[in-house]
Amino acid sequence: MRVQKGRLESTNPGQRYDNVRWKKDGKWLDKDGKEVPKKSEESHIPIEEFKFDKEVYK
Amino acid sequence: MTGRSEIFKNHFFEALQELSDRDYQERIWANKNNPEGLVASFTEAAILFWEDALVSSALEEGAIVYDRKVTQALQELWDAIEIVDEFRSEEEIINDPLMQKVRDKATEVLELIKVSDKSENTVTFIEEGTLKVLEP
Repeated sequence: MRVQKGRLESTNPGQRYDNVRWKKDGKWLDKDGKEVPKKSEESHIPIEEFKFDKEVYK
Repeated sequence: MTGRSEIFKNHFFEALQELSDRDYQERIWANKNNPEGLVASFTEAAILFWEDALVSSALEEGAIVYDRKVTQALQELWDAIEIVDEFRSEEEIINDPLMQKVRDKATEVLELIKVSDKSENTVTFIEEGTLKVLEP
């Protein structure tokens, strides 16, 4: 799991907000723990929308 | 685990390619021609190379990646990455002469790997997730 600081000056919308990235078995996950492409906006979860769910890792 | 230093091969080559490719950086990082809406950046490529691919750990453990020349170039690439200021627009990062040094060094690493006979290699290349052992 990784927390990334957003940069308002970024020209890439997915880099403008503070976000959380998490993965399991090498696969990136969205906020619901579903596998999504690594470079998708869904894999860059706005920090206020992220809730850690330990069930994902069971 | 193999007991040797390990590198996630897919991350390793993806990061080197991304760090070497100005066209990709302009299209995707700077979002100039990005119809798929991919989210990527200099910072993410740097982390992919140094941490996610496990290059940092391998070098700290004194491993030889392919051969001594490649290993030295990998350390030099990280040294070049570290002095790029990441807290500004992608345009500024991409146009920074220091970023050109990163691209040049990443390109050099890829070229050195192509001609390496890999006989000095002490690293096991694996696939993240499956942990399948791959050819160097």
